[in-house]
Amino acid sequence: MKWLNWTKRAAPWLSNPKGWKQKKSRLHDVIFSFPLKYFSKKIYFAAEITERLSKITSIKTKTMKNIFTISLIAVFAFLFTTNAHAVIVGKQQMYAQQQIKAQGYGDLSIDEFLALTPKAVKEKTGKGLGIKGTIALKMAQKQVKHALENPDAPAGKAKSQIVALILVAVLGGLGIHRFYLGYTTIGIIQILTLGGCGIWALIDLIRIILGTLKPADGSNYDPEL
Amino acid sequence: MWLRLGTLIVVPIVLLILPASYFDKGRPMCLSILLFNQECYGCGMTRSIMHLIHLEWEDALYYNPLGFVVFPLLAFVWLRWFLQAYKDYRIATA
Repeated sequence: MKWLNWTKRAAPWLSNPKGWKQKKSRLHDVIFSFPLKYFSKKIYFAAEITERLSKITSIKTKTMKNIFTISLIAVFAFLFTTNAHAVIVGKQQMYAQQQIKAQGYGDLSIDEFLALTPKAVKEKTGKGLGIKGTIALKMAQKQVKHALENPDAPAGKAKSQIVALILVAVLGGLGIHRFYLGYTTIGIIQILTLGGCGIWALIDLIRIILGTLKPADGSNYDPEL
Repeated sequence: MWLRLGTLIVVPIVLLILPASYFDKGRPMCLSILLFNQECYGCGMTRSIMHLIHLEWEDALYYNPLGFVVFPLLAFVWLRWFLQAYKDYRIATA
């Protein structure tokens, strides 16, 4: 396990999971070992998987590591392009609306509300917002801004041709543009085949320039985005 | 040498003298906003740190919560730059 060598040198007990519990605890060890312990299990696990996979597929460990990294990037890109965090945001928005009503901002115009800062609120009401109130104010302003920018479109649905073009030019080899446009299955296939050996990505590039590759829900590109 | 040392001393003082809301208005120049109309994790960092050094915690949190993470790191790095520049200055003048 060559690429674990640096961890062995940095923390010899890291590569021996059973050794963690036996280690005597001094104060700084207790403080600093918790996150290391927590993550090292995962690092160790990932390393073992990479090692085994590379033995099975007879690909070099280094190459396997790269594939692992690329797939991690792809997962993050997937989370970024989909609205996976919508549930959390929804809860915050609920809280924000309650806060706005409770603090009596109902009589403000939209522009006045968007220009509010915690300082302005403090000057107006004579009372600070606090951490929760500040975050709630920010979330509420974001929500209002979003609603103003896309009055008809449901949240996050309108796709931009330029963004798709940038994605296919820069990350086309990983099929990220397909995730952006909503073709999730084809996106996964393109990750695994590195953009259809590059040819598929090239075809997608031309199709996006010509405008024949449209978002998955059949809508047109938003010309203003 | 003295130019680097002077800059490291003068910039924080100038920022402290300017009002805390000096950077609040104006158009953001972040590529993320210009291209995607989406705030990135660094957007608002200038405003956040500007409010932080004027001890306005809530505004700092409002403009960018990550300012609380970045400011201590920046202060540490700034101090190291300063010490290094001071060392160089001493060597150059000696």
